[in-house]
Amino acid sequence: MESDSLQQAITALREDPEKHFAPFYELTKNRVYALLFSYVREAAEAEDLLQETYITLLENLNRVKNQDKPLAYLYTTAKHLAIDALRKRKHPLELDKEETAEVIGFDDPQSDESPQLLEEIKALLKPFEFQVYVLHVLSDMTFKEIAKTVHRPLGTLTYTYSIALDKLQKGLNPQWTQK
Amino acid sequence: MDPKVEEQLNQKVKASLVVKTTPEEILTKYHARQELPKKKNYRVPFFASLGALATACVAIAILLPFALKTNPTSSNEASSGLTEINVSPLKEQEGVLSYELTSVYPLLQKAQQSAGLHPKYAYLTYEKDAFEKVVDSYENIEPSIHEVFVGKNEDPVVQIGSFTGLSGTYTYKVELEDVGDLLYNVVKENTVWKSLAGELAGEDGRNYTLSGTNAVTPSGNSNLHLSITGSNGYSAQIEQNTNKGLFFFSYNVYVSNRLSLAFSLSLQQYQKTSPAVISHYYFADEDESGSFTVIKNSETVYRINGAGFSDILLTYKNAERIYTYGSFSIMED
Repeated sequence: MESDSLQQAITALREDPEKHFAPFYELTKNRVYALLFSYVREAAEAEDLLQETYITLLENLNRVKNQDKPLAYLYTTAKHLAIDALRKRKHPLELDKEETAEVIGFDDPQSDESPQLLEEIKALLKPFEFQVYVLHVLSDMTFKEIAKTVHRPLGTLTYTYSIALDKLQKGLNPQWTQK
Repeated sequence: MDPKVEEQLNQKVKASLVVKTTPEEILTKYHARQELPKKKNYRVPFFASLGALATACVAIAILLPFALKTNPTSSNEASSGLTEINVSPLKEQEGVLSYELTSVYPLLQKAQQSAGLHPKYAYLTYEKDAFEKVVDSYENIEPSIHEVFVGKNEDPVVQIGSFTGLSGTYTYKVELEDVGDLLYNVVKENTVWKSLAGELAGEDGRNYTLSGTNAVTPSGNSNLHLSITGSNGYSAQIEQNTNKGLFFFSYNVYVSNRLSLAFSLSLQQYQKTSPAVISHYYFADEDESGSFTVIKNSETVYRINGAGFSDILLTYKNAERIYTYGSFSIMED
């Protein structure tokens, strides 16, 4: 089980961070990066925040309790860092007016080092659609997990995802959608 | 979209994702940071605000006794409790109130310290492990609770200008070490303060605005509400409701409109000679919460109940705190 291997990795990491950080990192980096990227939508910034996320974990290893899910800890940390980073840009986007403002990015995508396919997707989708798509596809999050992360109803997410897929099918360069 | 096309596209998206950062880079940065002086906790700004608010409470407390005195018959319950209860160095009503209210100030220091707590014992039985967790948890709030019992010896409030009469606007200044200067006005009516407004210019370059109202109930109890809003998106609210105890304060700290910390303290009088403090707290970030009842046995010995444990003994010895439960003992300093 993947969760078992993660638990083993975090246990080993606690015992010897130097020796066991790399395997733990390789096991989790893509999903954490995807979460960050879904918020900040800029590869370079997501890389910076990825480093911050793992440094925070290393600094707080003793406080990550045994029963905690390490990935959940990483997600929470990453999300807070991403929201802080977006706030520093001074262009927050309010997503959930009733409960809390979840900031996910901008309407005007910035050019950066993101791979071409992701750039195209970013250009085609609205920020929230992009976030849902990236979290589902790249972070391997279930819609239930995404709902918890972005504080949106499950139905909204599945609907948004389907809208995103429609847009991608129509708008993406055919090379990406050909069988 | 055709499910197969969807799957294929998603696979391509996954394959296109390249994380450039290597684990070595992270470890190098981590070690470099370890060698630097400790960075300030992100909580510092709004706990600075809390400290400021708490100090404002002290100033308010100086005014509150007058309110109690204006209606001695109806405020009998509160005033008799305060004078009889053995919790503070000062026995006079005014002094007791002031000292108790000042006790909220340690929240400022406490919250900063809490970030660094960690288990100290690696090989534990379940019971000892659980005991240690309770102690860790209690240590988060220990100074705040202890200050309620022992009081505080500082009064940082300075009254600016010269005021006479029972009513009017009084201006105060509070110099808060490591935080900044808090300036605020209190509107009094017949010695009872009704509202206040102020500003705190924090040393971190952020500004905070302070506002408060005070409603004195017909029974003489004071129900005050203070709120502070930071230019950085932090906000905190403090409420006092004497109907919930001789003193009752609750704090709610919000970051980005989300509750980050909830903390409440109430001073109860179980017996006249054994005051107790009930405290609840909740740290959203750490997903940690707790509730404790602390009873004073003597000047240096307290009894703690909470988190499934009863009668943990806390002994203050010089600068150390010794927690004892059965045969287990943990020392903190």
